[in-house]
Amino acid sequence: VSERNRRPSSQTVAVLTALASERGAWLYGLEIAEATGLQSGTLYPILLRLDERGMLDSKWLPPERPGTPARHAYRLNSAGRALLAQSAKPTRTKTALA
Amino acid sequence: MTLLSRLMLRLCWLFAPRERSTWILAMTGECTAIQSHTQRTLWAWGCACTALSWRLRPHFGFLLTLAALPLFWNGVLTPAHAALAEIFAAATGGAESVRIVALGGLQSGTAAALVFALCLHQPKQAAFTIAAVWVPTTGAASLAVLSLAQTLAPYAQNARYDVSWAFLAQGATVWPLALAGVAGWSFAHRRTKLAACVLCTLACAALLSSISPQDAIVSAIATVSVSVLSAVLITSLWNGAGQLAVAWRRTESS
Repeated sequence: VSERNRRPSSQTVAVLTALASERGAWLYGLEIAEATGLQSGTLYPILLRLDERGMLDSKWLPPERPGTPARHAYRLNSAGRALLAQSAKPTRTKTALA
Repeated sequence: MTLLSRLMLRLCWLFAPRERSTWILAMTGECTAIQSHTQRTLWAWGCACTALSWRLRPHFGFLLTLAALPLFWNGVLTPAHAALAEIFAAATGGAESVRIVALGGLQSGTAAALVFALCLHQPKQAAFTIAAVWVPTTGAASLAVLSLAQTLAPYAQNARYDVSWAFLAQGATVWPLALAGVAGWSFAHRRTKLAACVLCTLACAALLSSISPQDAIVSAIATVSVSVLSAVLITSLWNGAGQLAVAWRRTESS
């Protein structure tokens, strides 16, 4: 199965759903972790993969408090929304079983 | 930030490949935004694990090979070596000393070939490969040096065989692997001259060190002197040939 055709994992779908729920808003990694219940060790490899495949937009936002570092924020782009829509569709097996 | 979480974030920077530094900054930035100490430590732990996985992922096959080596060595290669040494000893009159020498040669040769192949594939990890192959293969016996009484037990009757002898005899298993590693590294970096020199040294030294396999000291002195002499000889022959070729080209052009 090629990388492109592989269905996203349930955790990836959870990240995509969390990003899609706040339409157009930029979310921090911590906010996505709270929404999905994922730990940093699971969340960041998923975010990296989505970013490398062009499913996410990311940017640095200035710190809210002085003396703290800038924070990286993420937003789903059209390709990410398409992937989420595609992963929400039932598979052939599921349709056959229904 | 607690000392533990700070330490783990430091480890992130240590482990992570350079091209992932943006992601480490992102994870670190989020970590400082967490209020709870426990949550922050857990977050930092996850970051350290992620950074380590990013570092190890490209070398997964190589690490798996090294991890499987002890099993393969003990389960497959050691019985094969023993059988081959038995056949060799039977063919040459059935002497026990021949069988022992053949077994040692087969084991060292196989381990050296493994190191050569792995260093050729992953030259950046050459030093690590030499150690990682040596320990479970020919070095397994050398680790018995840690329990000297056990190592020296077979030689207890002879006063000549002391602690230094044990180290010398067991430590001698390292050099073929080190030379094979250097040869693999040299080929990987297209330094064929160095690689050829090292391989010839390895062959000459291996051949001559088997002159007196019973006496480790004589064997070690022979190995070192032959290694140095053959390296000098090969390098000077190579340089001499190069200079002759340059001189020949000059005479042709003039």
